[in-house]
Amino acid sequence: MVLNVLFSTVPGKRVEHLGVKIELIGRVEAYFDRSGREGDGDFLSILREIEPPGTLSEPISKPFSFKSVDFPNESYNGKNASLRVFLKVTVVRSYASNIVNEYKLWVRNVREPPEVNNSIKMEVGIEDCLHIEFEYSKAKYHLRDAIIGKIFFLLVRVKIKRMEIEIRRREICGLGANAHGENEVIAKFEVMEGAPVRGECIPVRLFLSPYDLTPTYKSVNNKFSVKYYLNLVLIDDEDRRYFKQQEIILYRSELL
Amino acid sequence: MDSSSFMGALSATNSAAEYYYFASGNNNNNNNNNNSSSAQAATNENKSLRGGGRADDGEAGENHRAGGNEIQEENLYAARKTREEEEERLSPENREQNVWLEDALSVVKKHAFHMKRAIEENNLRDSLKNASAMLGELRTRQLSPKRYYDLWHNIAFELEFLREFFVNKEEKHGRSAMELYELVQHAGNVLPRLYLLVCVGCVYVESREGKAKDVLRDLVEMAKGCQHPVHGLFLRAYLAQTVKGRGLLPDTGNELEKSGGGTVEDSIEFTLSNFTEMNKLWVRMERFNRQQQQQQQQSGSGGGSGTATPGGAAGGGTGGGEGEGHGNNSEAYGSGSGHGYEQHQQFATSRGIIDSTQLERDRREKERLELRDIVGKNLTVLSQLEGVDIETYSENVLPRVLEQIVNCRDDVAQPYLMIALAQAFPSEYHLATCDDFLSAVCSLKPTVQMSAIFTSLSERLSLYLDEPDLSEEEKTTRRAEFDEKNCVKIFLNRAQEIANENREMSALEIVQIYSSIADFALRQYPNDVNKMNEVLLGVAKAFDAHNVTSEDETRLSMSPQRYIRDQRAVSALVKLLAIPLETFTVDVALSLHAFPKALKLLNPETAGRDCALAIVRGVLKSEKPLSDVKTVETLFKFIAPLLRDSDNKSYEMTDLNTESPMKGSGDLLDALSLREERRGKTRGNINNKKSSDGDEGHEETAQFAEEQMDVAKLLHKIHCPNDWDSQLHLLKLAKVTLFSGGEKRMRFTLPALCYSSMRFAKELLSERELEERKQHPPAKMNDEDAAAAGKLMEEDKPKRTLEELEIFEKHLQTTLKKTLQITHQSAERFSEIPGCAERGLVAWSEAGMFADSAKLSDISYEFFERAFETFDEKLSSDSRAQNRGLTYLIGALQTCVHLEEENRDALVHHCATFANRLLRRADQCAAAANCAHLFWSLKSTAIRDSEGVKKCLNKALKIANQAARALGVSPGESLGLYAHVLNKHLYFFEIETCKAVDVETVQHLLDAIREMIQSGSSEHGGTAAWRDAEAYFGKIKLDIKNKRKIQNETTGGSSVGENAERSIGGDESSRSSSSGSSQFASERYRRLNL
Repeated sequence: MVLNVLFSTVPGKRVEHLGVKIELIGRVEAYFDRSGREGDGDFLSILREIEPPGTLSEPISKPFSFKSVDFPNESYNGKNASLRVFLKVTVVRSYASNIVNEYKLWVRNVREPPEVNNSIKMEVGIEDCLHIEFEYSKAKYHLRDAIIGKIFFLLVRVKIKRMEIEIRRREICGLGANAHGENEVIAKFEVMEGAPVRGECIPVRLFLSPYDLTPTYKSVNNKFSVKYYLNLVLIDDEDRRYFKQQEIILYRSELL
Repeated sequence: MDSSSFMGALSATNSAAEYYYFASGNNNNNNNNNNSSSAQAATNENKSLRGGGRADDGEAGENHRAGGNEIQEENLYAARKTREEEEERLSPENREQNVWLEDALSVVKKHAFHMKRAIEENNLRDSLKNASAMLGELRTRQLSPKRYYDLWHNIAFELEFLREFFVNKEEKHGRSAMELYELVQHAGNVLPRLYLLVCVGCVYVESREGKAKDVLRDLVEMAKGCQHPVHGLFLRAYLAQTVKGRGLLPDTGNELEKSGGGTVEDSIEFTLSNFTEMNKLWVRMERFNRQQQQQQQQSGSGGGSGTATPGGAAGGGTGGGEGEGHGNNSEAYGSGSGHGYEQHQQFATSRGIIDSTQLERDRREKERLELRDIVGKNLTVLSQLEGVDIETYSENVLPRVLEQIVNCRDDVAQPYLMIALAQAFPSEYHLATCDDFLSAVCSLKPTVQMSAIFTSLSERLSLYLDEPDLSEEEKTTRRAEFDEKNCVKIFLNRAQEIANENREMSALEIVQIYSSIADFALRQYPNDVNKMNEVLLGVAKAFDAHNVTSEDETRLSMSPQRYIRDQRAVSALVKLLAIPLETFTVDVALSLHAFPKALKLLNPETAGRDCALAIVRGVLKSEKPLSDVKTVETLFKFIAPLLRDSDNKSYEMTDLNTESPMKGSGDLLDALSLREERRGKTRGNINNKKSSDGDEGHEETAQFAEEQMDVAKLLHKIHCPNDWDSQLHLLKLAKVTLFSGGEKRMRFTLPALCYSSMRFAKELLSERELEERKQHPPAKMNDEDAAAAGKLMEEDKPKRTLEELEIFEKHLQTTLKKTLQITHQSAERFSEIPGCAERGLVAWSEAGMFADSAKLSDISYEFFERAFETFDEKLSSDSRAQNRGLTYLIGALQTCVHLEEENRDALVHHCATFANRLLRRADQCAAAANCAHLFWSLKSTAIRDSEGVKKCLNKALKIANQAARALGVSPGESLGLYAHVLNKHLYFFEIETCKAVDVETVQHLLDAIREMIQSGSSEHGGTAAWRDAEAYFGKIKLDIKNKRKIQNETTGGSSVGENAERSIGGDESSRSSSSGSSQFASERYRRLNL
């Protein structure tokens, strides 16, 4: 695709420049990671000269294009980290500051459904108090999927008041010892109210589409990761919470 | 599709609450650290729970509270409401509830308004948002089921608007039903989500976008998300109601099925699982209530001791877990029933706590009951499905429903659901599955009221036959079908099983089960005695099985008889036993062999007696005489409690041919009579209707007397025409039976035996007479008459030959003798009973008279001998009784003309002697005068002794003279005596042939009396005795005057003696004497100087 850059000047004025260039930049920014140099987080930087040095006196339109660029990562705008892809047009001037204009691009990548997609099944509990077994039909969901599952109560000796499923997002910035995580509850979905007894099986059907989710990102440019968890929470009459967190992989199957 | 708005209703969660990580084996709940935060969290939660996205909550609550107070005061003064209503209003709990409800309703109203406005604007998002908020009100846990229902009802109404909105899809909101179905599931709270889901689900099915079976299955499955009993019940009720109401159940032949929406199987599946879940929730309410109560107590005790117990729920948790050991099935309904009670005991240290918690529990139990109909509704829905035919019902529906009912192990749910099941389905279904149904009943909890289930099922089955507008043909086929099934048998078998298996079942329950079977059996087979017999046998057997094991200890220490002790069970059994008596004729009822067995279950002192009495009265009412030996035997068995004492175990049918059964058991009887004597002393003389006992004792005695009278009446029912042997046998049987009854019974029953035996003897005699007349027709009859008479009398029987006649006579003689033996024995026994001597004497004399009239002079003599013996030995203590007895004896003896002279003289001599021995002068005088009659019989010329008469009269006069001088006799009385003596004189004076009385004597007496009156009337005229005596004398004079006139009106018949008062010997024959004798009398009277 060929795009145009439109230069418009104040009529009657001339602008001299040392050349106009356009860059396509993919940048990862982790807010707590200020140590790196400028451009350290750039995983993509392609430069095109679209105008040799000269003078601009009247509006002109210059076409440009970046062909077969590979976007390995999707755009992301999280709490502590972001991944931006943008076009940067710079009019280089010798005496004055450069005229810079940025144009954001939002990248989305569609993935093929994973080949292996096992169900999540687990028996958990607190001994002699609460034993449950939960099962989610899959471990990997696309963003418009629905989480189907069920929860068996194997032993109930506390009086449960209600049960929720939370979708939690965890952003992890940095690596190794510097790693910093941030949790965020994206969705809270009540799946049961009242006190179940032993033998009950509670169905779960949670549509993901209403929530503001992204695919799971793993170690983007070694800067950050975004992970999603399903958190099953049981709340008893005393408002104590019993929970079990389980990671799910989200992926994008369509662009919409 | 932004649906974060749905999240709005979710209350803010408290981050202060502690977190528990799920990890096997990780059990270190550090409670102490978390106490404060947990408590705080709890209060937070309470606030936010009702919040549901509502800001003005608190304020509104305040307003309502104030309003509530005003209402309360108004009510107090208006006093229009009934007290109960007022109490309900005034109780703080209810007031609180009302405030909450009004609160919630106003919120609902508000959201509903916004929702409807959004609908008008075709704003799908807002309408859903508001609907969700409105539904959020249903999440309340504060309302009682009743008020929750009000709320629910309101909301369900509002939801209809939403549903209509959903239906008009394209032009309004532009979404397909499927999209909507997904959309509503984005709601963050489970309860609003599920309601919306149901609402849209219906639209989904109606639009035919989704297959009914899939949607229904999904709905009923998703509804599991609501585990709160009340919430869940109402949610599922809404589900069932909407699905049913919109006709969304695929059924055989309906449109949904044709369009591939599913089959009736799917509908059954749907309804059954909804039913199952609802029932679970409903049953859980009970457990839930209990737990809550327990927790209340825990917090109460914790607060009292001043130490903050680390988390009440920890205790609650263990309490809840205690029940884990039970079978799998019961687990599904909630755990920890047993332990809850234990803790209950532990914590309820003060009485107050128990009382208040008891009240609380009752209230909750009541609340729970209010919900039962919404559970049972599912069964109705099932029965209304066309596709559920008998086959499907028996194979698919019934087993699952029953399994559910059996497994829920709940006292309230089980009977209710069984009855609901019986009511919901048509009777032919039950007919086909009767046994399965009842086998499920067997497995119910033993504390369940099974009789009600039995009744309900049997009523239902009865309907099968009794259904109106059935053609005859149908009726017969149905009847045949019915008979083939033999439901009664099935019922009985199952009842037996129940009784065998449920040891702890109450006696009342068992009896009631059998009662309902009996009702059923009778209704369907009104004439079938066997069925009834089986039922009764069943009762007896049931208790056999029941008692043998459950009451072993008591059995060993107590008497071998085991009666039902529970008073209510007893009265139920009495009622059951009364059924056959009321419905069958007595003979039929008596053929129930099982009856006595069942009767044995009752304590003969009380209930058994009542029952027996009912039988006796039934027999008495019926027209038919008791003529069958077997019947009578059974009858006596039936009424055994009336015939003997319970502790008198000697009751047995002794050999009837033993001539004198008393001899054998003399010792026992002696002992008995001794005991009776002691009892008799306290009881007093029944004859005189005096009881020295208290009122209570008197009442009892009166009742007892009445009962025994009824038994006595039975004897008169015994009558076998033309079968002497049987009659004799029956009398003997009666004798043996009655003799074993102890004196307190014989007192009432023996006279009846005595007289009925005499009556039989009389019958024998009259038969002989008849026979004689047949053999020797009276000469004056002409041939025609004789032939007619003979024909009339014995049409079929030809004249007997001489030989036959001999046999007949012999047979008659022996029978007669044996009968009189019975009379003898009974009279003997009777007169021995303390307090019965006088009546015994009467019986003896009657017997004597009868024997005399039968020309059995020896026997007659014997009877009279015994009569005098009785008089001599037994009546010595009571002078009045002596007087009466002697008078009676004289009267009886007077009529006897067939006695041998020697014997008669002896008896007459006895009379005279005894007359002398009487205590009071007046009595002596009267008796002496009466004795005169013994020397002059109008019947027999052989007994006409003027001298004897004269002697007696003279003696009487002498005694009267003595009396006049004696101190103890008042002048009035003395005058009376004279008058009496005069009267006696006049009796013989009138008889022409009697030379005993001449004119002078009478004149002398008359003069003497007149003189007495003249001299004494001024002095003694005031006393009643004197006045009576004067009047008596006046009447005698009047009589004399009347008789004088007779000659003038010789033809005018005899109106003589109408006014005369003669105490005894007033034989009508003497009064209606021929005109000749009256002429003589009047002539003689004219010679008197009045």
